[in-house]
Amino acid sequence: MRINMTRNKLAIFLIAVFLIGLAVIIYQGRPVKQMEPGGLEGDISAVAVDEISPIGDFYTLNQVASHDRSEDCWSAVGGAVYDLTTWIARHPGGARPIINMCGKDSTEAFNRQHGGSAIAQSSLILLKIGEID
Amino acid sequence: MSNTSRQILRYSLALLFIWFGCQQIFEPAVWLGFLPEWTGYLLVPREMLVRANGWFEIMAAIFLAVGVFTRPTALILSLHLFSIAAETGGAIGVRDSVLAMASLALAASEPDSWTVDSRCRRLERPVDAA
Repeated sequence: MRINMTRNKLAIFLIAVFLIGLAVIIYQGRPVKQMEPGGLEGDISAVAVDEISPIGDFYTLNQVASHDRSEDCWSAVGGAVYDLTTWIARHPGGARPIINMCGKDSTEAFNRQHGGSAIAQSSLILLKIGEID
Repeated sequence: MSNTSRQILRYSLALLFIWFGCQQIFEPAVWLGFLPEWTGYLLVPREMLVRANGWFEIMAAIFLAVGVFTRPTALILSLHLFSIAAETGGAIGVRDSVLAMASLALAASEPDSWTVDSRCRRLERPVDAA
C-alpha cells in the first residue's frame, strides 16, 4: 500500500513538473508587443513622417519597399497593402515565404501558393492597412 | 514478449521521445513545417506549440523510463504518434505509424520487472509472489 502511495506521489510530482514547464513555455512564448524607441506602439509620435500617407490609407510601392524586414514587414497583394509582421511567426507554411514577401508586390506569389483559398484570403484581410496609390 | 524485450522496448521508446522532445524545445523552427495547417490560424504562436509538444513528449518519456503508469502512458504516446502520422503522411507518416505500433505493443503488455508499476504489484500481492 505504501509503495502504491509512493507511485501516486511520483506521478503527481511528474505531472506538477510538466504543468510548471508548460507554464514557463507559455510565459516565454507569449506575444510581446515591441515598444518603439520614440514612444508607445501606435503612438503617432513614434511613426516616421514618410510612413503616413498624405491621402489616408494609400501607400506607394516605394513606401511598401521601405518595410522589407521581418521585424517590419509590409507587402502589397492585389492592389492592397498588408502589414505581415505579426503573421510571420503564425504562417502555416513557415516564416520563410512571408519574409520573402516583405517590401514587395507579392500578388503573383500569393496567388500561386493560395489561389482561391478562402481561409488564406480571410487571414490576409485582417492584416490590411491600406491600398496602393 | 519476454521481460528483457519489454525493458529494451520501453527504454528505447523513452530515449526516442526524449530526443525528439529536446529537439522540439531547443530548435522549434525546424519542426514548424510539421504542424498541421489549422494551427496557423490559432492565436497561439506556432513555436510555442512545438515547444509544448516537445515538453509533453519529454515528460511522457520520463513516465515511461521510470515505469510509472507505464501502460496508460504508452497508450497515450501511441495515440499521439498515430495522430502525427495521419497528419504528416508520406515516409515520415509510415515511420511514425511503426513507432506508434511499438508504443501500442508496450501498452498491450504487462510492465517489465524494472518498472515502479511492477514493484507495486509485487508488494501488493505477496502471496502470489511467494
